Amino acid sequence: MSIMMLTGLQAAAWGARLSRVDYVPAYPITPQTEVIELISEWVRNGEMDATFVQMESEHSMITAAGAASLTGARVFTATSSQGLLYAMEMLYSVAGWRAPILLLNVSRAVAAPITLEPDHNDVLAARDTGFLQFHAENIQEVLDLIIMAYRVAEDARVMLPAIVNMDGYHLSFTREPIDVPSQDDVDSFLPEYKPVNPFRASSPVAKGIPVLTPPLYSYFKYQMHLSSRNALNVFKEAAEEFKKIFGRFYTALETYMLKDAEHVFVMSNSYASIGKRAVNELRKMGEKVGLVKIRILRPFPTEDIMDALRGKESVIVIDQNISIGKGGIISAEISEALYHLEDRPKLILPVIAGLGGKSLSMSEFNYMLKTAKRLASMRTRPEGPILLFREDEKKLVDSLIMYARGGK
Amino acid sequence: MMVKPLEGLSEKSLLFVNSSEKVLLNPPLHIVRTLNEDLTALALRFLGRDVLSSALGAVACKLSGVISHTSMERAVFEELSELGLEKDALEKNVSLAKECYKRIPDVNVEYESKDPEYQIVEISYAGAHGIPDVISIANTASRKTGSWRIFKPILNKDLCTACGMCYIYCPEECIDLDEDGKPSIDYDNCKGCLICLQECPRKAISSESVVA
Repeated sequence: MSIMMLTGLQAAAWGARLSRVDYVPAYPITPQTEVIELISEWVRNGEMDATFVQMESEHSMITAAGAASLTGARVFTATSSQGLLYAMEMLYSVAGWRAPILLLNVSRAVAAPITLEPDHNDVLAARDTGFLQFHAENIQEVLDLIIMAYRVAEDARVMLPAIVNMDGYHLSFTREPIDVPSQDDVDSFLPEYKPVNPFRASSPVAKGIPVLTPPLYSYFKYQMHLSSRNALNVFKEAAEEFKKIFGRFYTALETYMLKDAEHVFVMSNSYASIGKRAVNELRKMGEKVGLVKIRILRPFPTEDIMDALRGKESVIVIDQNISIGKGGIISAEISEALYHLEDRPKLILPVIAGLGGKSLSMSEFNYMLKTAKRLASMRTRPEGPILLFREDEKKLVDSLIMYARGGK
Repeated sequence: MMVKPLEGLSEKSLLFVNSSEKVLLNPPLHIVRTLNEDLTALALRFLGRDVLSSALGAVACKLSGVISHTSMERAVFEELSELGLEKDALEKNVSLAKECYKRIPDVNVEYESKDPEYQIVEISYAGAHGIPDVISIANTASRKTGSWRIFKPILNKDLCTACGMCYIYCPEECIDLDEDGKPSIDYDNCKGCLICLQECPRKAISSESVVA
């Protein structure tokens, strides 16, 4: 193992390389392109023993990834935003084929309007597809979760593809000192991929077949769901071994100053770092706050969510995504998980923040906490998600809009 | 095997069967047919083709007990007009429908509404069994599609020169070649498309109708 200063994209490429992937079908898109550029360079100069092919679109890329996986190849590919959406129909197919590919999503807000900066509407659009979903807070997690994801996805009890999500810009283009494991250590953790009924000329098999009898479709979809639920325990097992070999321990949820917290922020991905810092600042001011970070979104860690949030005064769910016309996606999932608990939190406060990479300031954390305390004490429900916005941002937006309309 | 068209039928139900063959059912059901000729034979006679939609429509209308023959004829005419059929074809279809309607005996249809009762089960994780792969190879032939046939290809071995064209052209792989290179037809599966008849350069294949 060695410590290297790596960007998130470089770390992701190392994750794929150390996982000994066989095949990388690729298509560029900001902000992920450097992952495949680095992989293609390694393949070209012989440092990485894999086949790299640029496809003509992300739709073809995911199709190729799934098909190759069904022959027994370990496959890695990467995309973002528009690319993910372009491939969307094939995500459902690849998961239905039970092909355990790994797709790195470097999150980027979805057009329109067009932007390059991150939020989570892209990766969450894939939440129903059958892909497992792992969300990385920092660059070390990017590398580690790729290795963990292959281990879990290819497990016979799961056999589903996986997405590892990392925030574009925040993680893709910044650097951290990263513990890059040795190839030997990764080899001892990650067994060879054992495909189920792979395509072989010698033993024909039909995959991805049409099932024209309705109960059959239901049955296979239920099996996908049950396999995904298995992934929670498979991940736990793998995490124990990962800790022994690499010294880092991963759980479906990470809790931060949770034990005596009365008000808890629920976050995911890179902004969870900002959240932890906000918790530190608020604690200094005597506030009993904590944070829960979601690391595995699919399968949804229902039990862990219940254990972490029951009995709390309020839960503030910060969704860096929006379902237009309703609100945040994660807050709805959290609410359902907590509904039947006798000691469920008094208040679940949904907040929309960080869309299109909008920054999240200490003032906004103060505001969220103040609102949560007020509503919880009044036993009043929130009227809808808080659409977080600051005065300085409003001034900026107003002036830009006026300029766009031909004003001064 | 997979589809159960008779599910939900009781002793009071009527089953319309388009065939002159004997039908055995257990438990037995009240079976209705068109008198003397089946629909396929009638369609071939009236239209020159085994297109059964207007015939079946007429049967359903008569069996319902509440649709008159004039309403039925008008419906057939309007439906097929919308599809853009020419006058000649329209008239033939209406004549066919009229005839089929006449040939259904008067039957008393009872109506009842009773949902069948089912047991609910819990689905548990089934491992590799839950992955939709088909590993049993070449099992298409076990679904006997020979019963779909209206025309049966018949080989005249004396005219056959063992050129193999029928074997090459059969879209269902229902023709094998024996040691002499002459075709043997899998009548369990042959659907009677007659492409072999069309392609045979010696006209060694003829056809016979299987309907009465």
